Amino acid sequence: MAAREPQSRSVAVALHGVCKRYGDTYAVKGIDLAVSPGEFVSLLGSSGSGKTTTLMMIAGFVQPDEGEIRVDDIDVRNVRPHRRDIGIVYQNYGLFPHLSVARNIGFPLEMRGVAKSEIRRRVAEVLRVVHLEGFDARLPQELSGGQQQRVALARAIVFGPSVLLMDEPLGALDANLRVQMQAEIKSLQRKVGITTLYVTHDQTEAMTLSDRVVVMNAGRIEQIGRPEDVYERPANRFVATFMGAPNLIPGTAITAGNQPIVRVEGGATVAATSGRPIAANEKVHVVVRPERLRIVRDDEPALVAARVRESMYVGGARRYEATSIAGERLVVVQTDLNLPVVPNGDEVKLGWDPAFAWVIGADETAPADRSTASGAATSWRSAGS
Amino acid sequence: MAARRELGRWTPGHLVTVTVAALVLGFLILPIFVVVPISFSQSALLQFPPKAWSLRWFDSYFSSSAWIDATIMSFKVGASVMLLSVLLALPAAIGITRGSFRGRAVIQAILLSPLIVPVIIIAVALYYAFSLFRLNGTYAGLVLGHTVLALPYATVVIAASLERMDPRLEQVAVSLGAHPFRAFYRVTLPLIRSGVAVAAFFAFLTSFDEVVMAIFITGPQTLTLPKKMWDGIRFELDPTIAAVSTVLVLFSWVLVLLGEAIRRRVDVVTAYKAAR
Repeated sequence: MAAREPQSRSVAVALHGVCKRYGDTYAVKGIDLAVSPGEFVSLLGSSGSGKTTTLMMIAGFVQPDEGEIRVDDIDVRNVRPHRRDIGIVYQNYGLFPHLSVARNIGFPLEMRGVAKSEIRRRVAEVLRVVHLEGFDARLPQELSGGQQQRVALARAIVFGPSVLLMDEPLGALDANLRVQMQAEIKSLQRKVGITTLYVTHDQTEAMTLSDRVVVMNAGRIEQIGRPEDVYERPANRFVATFMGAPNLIPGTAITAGNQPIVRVEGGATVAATSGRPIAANEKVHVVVRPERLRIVRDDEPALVAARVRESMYVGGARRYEATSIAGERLVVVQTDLNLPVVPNGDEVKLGWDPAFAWVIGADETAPADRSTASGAATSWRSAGS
Repeated sequence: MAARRELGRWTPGHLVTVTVAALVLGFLILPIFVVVPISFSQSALLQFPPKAWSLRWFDSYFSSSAWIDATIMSFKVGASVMLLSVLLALPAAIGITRGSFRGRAVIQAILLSPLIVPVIIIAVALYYAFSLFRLNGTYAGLVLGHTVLALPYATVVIAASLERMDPRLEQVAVSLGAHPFRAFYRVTLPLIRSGVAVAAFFAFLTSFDEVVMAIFITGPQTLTLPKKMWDGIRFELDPTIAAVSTVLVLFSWVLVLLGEAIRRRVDVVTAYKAAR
């Protein structure tokens, strides 16, 4: 596996072949993942992708049916949850409503038999870190959502756990506060240097926060990679679509290798890059992100023709929904608002910089066909990080 | 007046509703208006309305060792039933609300069955069962019998407060290093304590005013107040019973008002804190 580090000493959390079944259905089906100390890794997927189940197995609240979970190189499968030394932050904060902020944050220390004076000192210290000095005597219900989330965060790190798990921690906050809290979480995580696993369904949030993103779907890992990897170089159709690049232009490879020349529909040939060697005559998809797709002038070389169906101003950019001649959906995001608006129904020529053209195999299936394509799944993952 | 104006004009529907409500309330409360005056009567007959007033029947109650013994017995049994019911209802309620084992629904149905089965049937059944173990007429037998009746109420009330609580909080406590038992004691129990208090209250009252089962399984050594009143009505009809009833009515009112005062205080504190 590409994701597995050769030296286990440099691994904070390691999952090998982890499976979880509920009845006949797999919630998690063969997860391999290695997280380095201090690394921030996001598990990204829609609901039912198995990301929260994976998190709960690391926390110990769900028992895996198969596979191995190691934290700090210790097999934790037989370690009870309260002995795992893992900090958890939930979406609903999970603050104890009957305890003050100070008692909430002091709870894990109290459970570990830390002396009262030491608890006071460490609670005061962590309250400074999360910018909540003077809030110690408040009850959770007297705080705003953002403040509650910071208390939950403080409580999850105050006892110096080896790993911090976060399950959609910002899900209950409004958009502006989310962005602000993302910045706070990121800077806090960097300051404390704690290994963090972060579950989210929000691509932007995953990319903003993480060193690496794990894209999950139907209990499997589709791709593991740095944010720019999964964003610019998706391993397959699912990742491309999930990361907001619905532009999959069908074509045929003319030359083989990692830098194939592709003849796209309409006949134009274009240079592109692939994550794995492409065979000659292989059916492929060229993935071009909406912001890389350009509406070209008549005198420029064009690669695909399409008809504009809808144009929308989306704040700072204009977004066109178009249909290619072959009937594929294409999305163009135009950031230069000085360009004239193309009316609905007009035919446009589209082009792109070959540097941003990424090739995936055409047979790399849509998520619906997943269960029948387990062989292909293995090869995608190796292509990942 | 204000409430009436808010309802707008009186329609025939309103009139019917108010009339029915008044009749029901009157039916519920009128017996008290009969029994209380009788208790202050001077006559040795159950006479309503009384022709002359006195406190002699209260004196007769408080100076009779038989009546006072029965009262103390009722309080003792009530307290034991309260304690036993809560101790049993807590784990039962946790099992019902949090458990995911086979036969959970069956166990729940059995636990709650005394709510449906007529008390007289349970009483007769217990009478026969207890005679095998020589429990009839004993204190332990009476406590066990009343606990059978009190347990479903206590379980339902505690289960309801567990349902209202976010079960993730226990998980959070465990993730923070609390042994599951400690998580329960430090997080769950404080959050459901009002439910536990109400359950205890119901358990006590269930035992305190229980007469059907008492008729079957009490003996001379375990005579409770309701049983003594029952005997009083049958054998020595005098207004002492009315005096006892008046004291009991007063006692329940004090309990209810006390409970209400505590609830309001909690609500006011919560509202005040939430508003800040």
